[in-house]
Amino acid sequence: MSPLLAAAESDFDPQHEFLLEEWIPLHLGPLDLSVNKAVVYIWLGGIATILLGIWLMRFGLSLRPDRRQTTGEAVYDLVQSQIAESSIPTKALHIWFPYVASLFLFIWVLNIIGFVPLPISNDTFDLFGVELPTLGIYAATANLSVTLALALITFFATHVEGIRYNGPTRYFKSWIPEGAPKPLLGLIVPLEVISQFMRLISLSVRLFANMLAGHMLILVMLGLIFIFSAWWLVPFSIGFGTVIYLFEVGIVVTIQAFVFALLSGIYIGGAIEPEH
Amino acid sequence: MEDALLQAFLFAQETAEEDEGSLIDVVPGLMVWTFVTFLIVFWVLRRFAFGRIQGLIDQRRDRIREALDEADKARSEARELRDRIAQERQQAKMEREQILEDSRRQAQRQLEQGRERADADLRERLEKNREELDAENARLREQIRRDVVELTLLASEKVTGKVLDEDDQRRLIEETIEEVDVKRLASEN
Repeated sequence: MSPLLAAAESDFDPQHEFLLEEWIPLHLGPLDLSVNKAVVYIWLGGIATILLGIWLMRFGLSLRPDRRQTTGEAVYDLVQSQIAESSIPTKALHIWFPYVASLFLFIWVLNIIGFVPLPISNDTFDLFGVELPTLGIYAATANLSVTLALALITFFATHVEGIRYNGPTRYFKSWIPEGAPKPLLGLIVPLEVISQFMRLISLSVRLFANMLAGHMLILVMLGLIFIFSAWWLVPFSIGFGTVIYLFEVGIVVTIQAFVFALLSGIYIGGAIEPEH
Repeated sequence: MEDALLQAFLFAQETAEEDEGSLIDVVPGLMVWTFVTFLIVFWVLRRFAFGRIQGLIDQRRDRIREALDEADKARSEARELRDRIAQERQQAKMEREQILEDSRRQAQRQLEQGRERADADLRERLEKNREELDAENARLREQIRRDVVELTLLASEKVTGKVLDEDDQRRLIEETIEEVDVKRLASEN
């Protein structure tokens, strides 16, 4: 075994990438708002989303679009036709289209940033006497708190809109399937209530688990080199790791953002018009 | 993929158990940051990005609709123009045929009139010639008759040796005229 690999083996721990150390302590009463790696990634994602959205959809627009504007319009059209219009009733589109569009872009950017090696890390390395943060990949969406927060917005929006458009009685009645036998209502009602909360869990866990799995697979593939302490594994590990990386960046990132935004639209649209 | 998800979840659980639950434990502070950041993103994009591009798309849609309307209008006008031209051509063709027919008829009429005039003229000329011939015949006949009378009188005076009086001359002239075929003499002359 190479001494370098042996040394690395003792240091390698894929879980380490997901630890959230407190970088800037910030406490508001019982609420811990301390800045950590996930918060920085969220800020970065927020800024990048805003810049991307404004760059693609605001400046230098003309009736004869260039490549940048065409991309912006394609993204806009994708969200409008494939997500918003297929899930949200027309009467509520003006309110909820910007929401699902922002959700899609925000999650997509957070996912993509998660696969860009950035010097935002707990670890540092020495370069000519200067301590620099090591490059690492981390996705804020691979954290359940982040995805749960986004899912909670959809959850509350769903029920607020359901009550606003239908009134509380009609809305909550719409949870019960038509023609359900009365003796079974005692069983059906709790199930339906639970199913509403399960939506919250499924929405948040789906995105979180997918992103976490992608990162884990890549880290584990690279970690095999250190786990087995063998140089001959390098081509296989890097090869498979690259394949998984490309698969994640090329497909999973977009699909997960799309699914989250689409399900949000479907839940909100379904609450506004429960009969559909 | 499902295995990977399961592994990820188990891994997250392990991490949670071993490392103060940073993955599947709900961290309210992180949720607040997520919520606040997303709301800012939502507000900025809604205010500065989506409205602008939607406006442009609407504007382009209007332009395309106008262009299509104009194209429809132009097509309709072209169709009307084509119909009108076809109608005018048809009318011009009919007028041309009418003119040709009129010309043909007029030419025919003029031809007939010319022929009639020529016939009439010919008839008139023939009549005139005939009258002139008749007049000439009459004049010649009268001339012959006078010559015959004079010759007869002259011959009679030579034969009888005396001068005939007026009654004898008249009687002799009448007898001579009755005997001489003046018409035949005139035709021989």
